[in-house]
Parts: sequence; C-alpha cells; structure tokens
Amino acid sequence: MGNSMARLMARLFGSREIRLLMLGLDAAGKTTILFRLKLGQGVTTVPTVGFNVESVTYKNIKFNVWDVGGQDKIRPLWRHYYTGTQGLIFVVDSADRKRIGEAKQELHRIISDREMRDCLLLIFANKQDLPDAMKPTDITVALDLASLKDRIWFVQPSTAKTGDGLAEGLSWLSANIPKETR
Amino acid sequence: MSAYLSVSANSAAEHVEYILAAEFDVDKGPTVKFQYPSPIDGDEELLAELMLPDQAHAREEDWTVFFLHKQKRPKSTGERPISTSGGGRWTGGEHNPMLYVLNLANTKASSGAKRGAIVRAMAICTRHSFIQIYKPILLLAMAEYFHNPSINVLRDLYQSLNAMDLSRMPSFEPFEKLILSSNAMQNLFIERFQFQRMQPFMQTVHAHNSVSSHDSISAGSNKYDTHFFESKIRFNNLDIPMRIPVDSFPDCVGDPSPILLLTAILNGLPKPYSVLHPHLTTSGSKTHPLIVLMNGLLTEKRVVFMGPGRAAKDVVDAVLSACMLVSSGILRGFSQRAYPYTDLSKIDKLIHVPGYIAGVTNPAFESHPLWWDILCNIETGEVRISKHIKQPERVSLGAALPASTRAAVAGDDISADAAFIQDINKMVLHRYGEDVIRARFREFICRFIQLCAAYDEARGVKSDLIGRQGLWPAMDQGYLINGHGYVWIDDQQKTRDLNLYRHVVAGWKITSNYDHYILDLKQRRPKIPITNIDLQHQIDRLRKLHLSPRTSEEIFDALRNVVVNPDQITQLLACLPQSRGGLLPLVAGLFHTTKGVRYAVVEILDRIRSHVTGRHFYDNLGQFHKIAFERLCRKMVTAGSGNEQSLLSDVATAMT
Repeated sequence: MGNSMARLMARLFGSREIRLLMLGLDAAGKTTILFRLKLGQGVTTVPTVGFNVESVTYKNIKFNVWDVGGQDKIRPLWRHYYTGTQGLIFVVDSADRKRIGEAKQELHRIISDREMRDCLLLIFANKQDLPDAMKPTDITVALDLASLKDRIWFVQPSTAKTGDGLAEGLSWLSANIPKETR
Repeated sequence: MSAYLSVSANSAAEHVEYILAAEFDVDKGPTVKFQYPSPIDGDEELLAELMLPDQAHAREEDWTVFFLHKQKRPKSTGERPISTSGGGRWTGGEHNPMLYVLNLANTKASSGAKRGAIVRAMAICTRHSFIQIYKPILLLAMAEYFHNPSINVLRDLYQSLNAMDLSRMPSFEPFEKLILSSNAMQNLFIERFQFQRMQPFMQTVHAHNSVSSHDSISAGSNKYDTHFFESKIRFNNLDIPMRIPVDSFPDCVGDPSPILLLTAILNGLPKPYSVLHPHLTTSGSKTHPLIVLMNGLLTEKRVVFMGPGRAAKDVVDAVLSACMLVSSGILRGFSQRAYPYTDLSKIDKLIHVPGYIAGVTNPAFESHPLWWDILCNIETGEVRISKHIKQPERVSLGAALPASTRAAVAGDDISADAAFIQDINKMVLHRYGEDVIRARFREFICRFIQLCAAYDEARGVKSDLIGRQGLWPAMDQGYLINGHGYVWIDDQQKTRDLNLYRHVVAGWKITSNYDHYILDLKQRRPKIPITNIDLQHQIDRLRKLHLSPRTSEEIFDALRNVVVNPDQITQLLACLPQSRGGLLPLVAGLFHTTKGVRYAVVEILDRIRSHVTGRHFYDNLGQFHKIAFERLCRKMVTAGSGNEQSLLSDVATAMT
C-alpha cells in the first residue's frame, strides 16, 4: 500500500533527484554499498582514492551518491562535499568495536557543520554477517544518536556483500526526504 | 626564451632533480614512500595527494602533471609548493624557478595485498618543460618498481636520466625559433645539428641553385626532422631513444594535444550566457564559449578545467593545452599559475592564487562557484562563468570610438572572432594537423596584441605597448614606408573591432602576462635587425589587401632595400609561416606589371634562396613559381638582350 502510494506520488511530482553523501571510516564498506546499489551485485572493491560518484535510480527517485575515501588523513576533505547534500549515509563496520568511538567522533563532526544542518541521517550498521557484529541498538548507543536534536535519523542493519538491508535504507530516505526538494 | 633552452643545452647540471615514489596506504591514505636523492622540502602529504589522483583505484594507469615553485637546490628557500605569490614575476629567464613533475600512477589488483589492490605512483621532477620525453622510461621504471619496490629503482632511474647527453643540442634566437615552430619542413637549421654523417648532406647544398637538381637531393634521403634533437639513455641495459623538441617555448609544457579540449568546446550545446562580464563576453550573451575561455585566460581569470569521471591525464592535457594556446610562444607566465592536476586537498590555497588555471576530475567543483571564475567542463564542453565573478570597477573608458555603433549593431558581417571560431571549427572537424591549429591560435594572439596597440593609438593613450620601447620602436624617426600594426580591410571594421574589444584590452593591461610581454619587448628590441619598417605589417598588406600596382611597388622596393643580410632575411622569414602560404605574398610580385618590381622580387628571392634557412622556403615553392623565378633570373643576366629562344629552351630543360 505504502509502496503504491509512493509510486503515485512520484508520478504526480515527476521523478525526483536526491543528492546523497556516503561517508564513514576506511574499510567500512561504502564502495561495496555503492556498487551493490548501482549494479545489483557484489563487486570486489579496492580502497577508494579520492571518491566515487554514481547515480542510482530507486523507486523513480534518482539518488546521486557520493562515496568518499575514509582514511583519517583525507577526512578533512569531506567538508568540501557537503554543499547541497540532502542525505548523509554514514556507514559503520559493525564488527569493528575498536574504532566505533572514532566513528562516533567523525559522525558528530560532520553533522555539526552548518551546511549539513538540514540533511537526513541514515546509518548503515554494515557487515551484519560477521559473527560478532553489533546490533543496531548497540550502534545507536555507541554513536550517541540520542543526543542529536532536530535531526531525522535511522539505523539500518545491512550486509553490503549480499545487499541485505540496502533497499530498506533507500526506502527510508525516499519516504523522509522533504517533498518540495527535487 | 632562448636562454631557457640554452640552460638545458649547455649545463652539465642535472636534467632531473628528484625522483619520487608514493603509495596509497590502505590505512593511512596517500603516502610518499621514497624520495631520491634527497627529500624535496615542503609538504610531503601534498606531494602524495598530487601523485595519487582521485579515482586512481578505478584505472590501471593514470598520469598527472604538477608544478612546484622551487629554486634550485643549493639556494633552496623552502618555499611551499603552492605559492600564493602565484605568477611570481619572471625576471629575464636566466633560471627557471619551476620544477615540472611528471607522475605515473598504477593500480594493480593483487590477491596478496590487504584489501585487494596496490596503488603506486612514481614521479620525475625536472626543470625541462619537455617532460613528455620521460614517459617511456617512467613506464619501464614503474614496471621494475612493482617487482622490486625499493629506492634502488629510483636511484637507477635518476642516474640514467642524468646521464643523457644534451651538450650538442642547438639553441635558437627568438626569430629562428619562431621559424622552426611555425614551419614543418625538414632540415631547417640542419647546420646547427652536429650529425656524425654530415658529409653527404653538405655536398648537396650547392645543388639547390637549380630546379632540376631538386629531386636528386630528396633522393639522397638525408632528411632530418630538425624540430627534435635526438639523444638516448640507457636504463636496465636498454637503449631508449629520446627525442627532445628544440622549438618548444616555456609555456608549452609536456607537448599537450588541444584537440580533445577544442572538440568538446566546439561540440558543446550553445547556451546563452546569463552572467556577463566585460572582459569575457565580448559579443554579449551569445559570445562563443571558446572566446570566453580565451578572454578569460588573457585577462587572468581563475579557470578550472573539470573532467568528471575522466582520467587525470585528460584534465592535465586540457590545462597544458590552454596554457600553450594562449601563450603561443608570445605571451608567457601561464604555466607558472597552472595546476594541471589538483584535488580538493589544496583548494584553500588554490583559490587565492590570482588567475590560476587548474585541472580537476572531481565534480564537486561545480557546486562551489565561489572557487572559480570560469569552469570549463571538458566532458560537456560547457564554459561557465561563475555568478560570483568579480566585476571590474566601472572605469570610464570614454565613449566608444565614433562611427562604430551602426556597424556594431549590424552584426551581419562576420567579425574576426567569428572567423576565428569558423576556422578552428573547420580545422578540428577535418582533422587538420595540430601545428596548423596552433598557428591559427598564434595568429589570434598576435592579432589581439596588435588590436590593443591600435586601441591605445586610436585613443591617444600613452602606453608601453606603443611607446619608444614597444611594438614600433623606431616609428618616430619615420618609417621607410608608412604603415604599422595590424592590417584591417577597412576603417569601419577596425573601429568595430576596437570597440568590441576595448574592455578586454583594459582587462589585459592589468595582468602579469602583459607586464611580461612589455618586458620581453624591451629586451628584444635591440636585437631586431629591421626596425625602419614594420615588416609584418607590409607583408600582411601584400597578403590581405588589393593593392594598386603602385603601392605594391613601394613595398617590394622597400623590402629589397632593407632585407639584405642574413639576420634581416631571418626576420623576413619569420613573417612568412607555412600555414599562411610561406613565400606566396612575395612571389606574387614575380608577376607584377612593372618590370622593375619583378626584378626587385627576384633579388629578394635570390637572397632568400641562398640564405641558409631561406633555401628551405624556396624549395617549398611550387614548380610554377620556381620556373617564373628562373626565367626572370636569366632575363636579368642577359639584361633584356631579347635572347628569348635560349631562355625558352632553358625553361624546357628545367621542367623535365
């Protein structure tokens, strides 16, 4: 039912375009997610030098997804991609307990930027297939999402390798993106 | 300019100052691994980022070029690689403050590697602008380095490259270099090249005097492409031939190909400009994007060449091409503000460099119009003007020159800019040689400079361009024959052109490349052989105008009187590039109605034929003109004795 409503909306308002920025620590699985969405299959990725950008159409919405390399040295460059971003996809390696604190720090730094003040926040709790992966609720706590005010956010468990959870993430984004944006 | 090359030719100093190796560390990001023989002082992280271009992971191979502003090592000042002083003023060119870096990035999938791939880069830092010659050897060294990632590979490469022998590479005076770069003939200036097998060639020199012997010369196959000096280097037990261009100029770095850039711009969907700028949009909202780009480069706007999804080497090519085309060997200083490949990490410094010219692959630049004045998308060919571009202060340029408004409004007849676009369009479409395209751009730049001078003159402005040390230094003392500067078909067109361009002229005069040009004019002035006549102007008159027999007689007479010694002939030849018909404007005089004029032309042509460079120009003439010349020669010798019979038979033998 919700699905057909969305389709009707899309037909009424024409196809929409949404600019998404995908960030996260290195080796969280950003590029794998991007190409899983783009190509519908798993690809073997190598570390991203700089960035990848692809557009993915899902439910008649065109998502322009920017995937930016995550090594700590190049994180200061993330801010240059903020302009015009409507949704932030923050990817977390759910099994990397050691660096979840680092991930939290980076996330809060990003969304405190003025240019990111209105954007939606989708968190992929990625690599759920790994044995000791943290559950979405653990991630919510570890990232201290409760402290976020005036922010629409959602944690989506995912496994990029198989594609599990990715479509749900995009659905959430398309449902929550303000209607007037094109 | 010649000093520039002679540095390389004479110095026993190093050709290459540093070799660098970098790697994309999966945990740390871009990292410099090795520097040989010593570290370049400055920001190491920045180097690593420049060496590993965005999306290097997505391609097996990519090339980048970047420039470092560095003094030579002994007196290193520790200047930062990106200097905000930008167009640091070139003070005569004794020594090149730029270090050109040619960099190769390779990505190899490797199951053994952490996260499945290794991304490595290696770079050569040199003061030579002809960095393209190092490409083959860098590929070899990189293959070696992937086998054996040690500093020894860098050391071997460094030693091989610096063992290259350029001691016998010839250097050229400005006029000579101009001749060499605008004429594709072989064997030009062959005498400067000390070939080992010189003997057979020298024997044939005298044979040039007659038409019939011409074929036997070419049959001798002693033809050399003298636009290159050939040397070789030895690396890993391999002899690698090196061809070094001897006619390149400082702003022509790395032999770029402008075709891709021009094709993109010419094929781009024309979109009227909504942002107008007096320096850029000379024809209002309908100005052609290529004209906007050229005007932007001339008036030193901040220009970004963006190639979303393209390899870094494509944007590098666009930036280097732009520098080469706008410089055309006449203006300079563009490469000093060029960042052929750069990425987001340097943006905070970059945007403060006045008139920078940068190449990027990252489409994020599009959404930051504050960063640039002009954005050229090499994918779509769009040349966009930033809505934030700083408009010039309203300086009163005075009213437009009179008699112009009507012509300007009419707009029907084709303007010089439109003609330029038409020519380039045709050349690109029909795949003309790049030398022809470059020559057309050189003409455009020459015309622009002459137009500025004409504007100053028309307005009665005192400027360095037309002053005593300017373009027409000896005009005050009176020219042998009147006329100077650009040749317009009629005054109406002149006024219209001047009015059209008056804002660009004003914009150009406050740039650093204008200052450089004025400096060059001053320095070159004492060395110009012919100053009592504006040689180029007179040649252009012959070329462009329908002259009365009386007027052309004046010109030919003047030429006969002033073009006598070898240096003067060299200057004349520099006005007669192959792309504009070579000697044609002159040889037309062989058929002048007056006998005296015909003989004057024969005299000039005879001097050219026996001139060491001129003989190649003569060889390039068609048989028709050669025969006419030969015939007149004989006629002169027999002093019009009316020996028609023997003359005819001579011609007959010459033709067979």
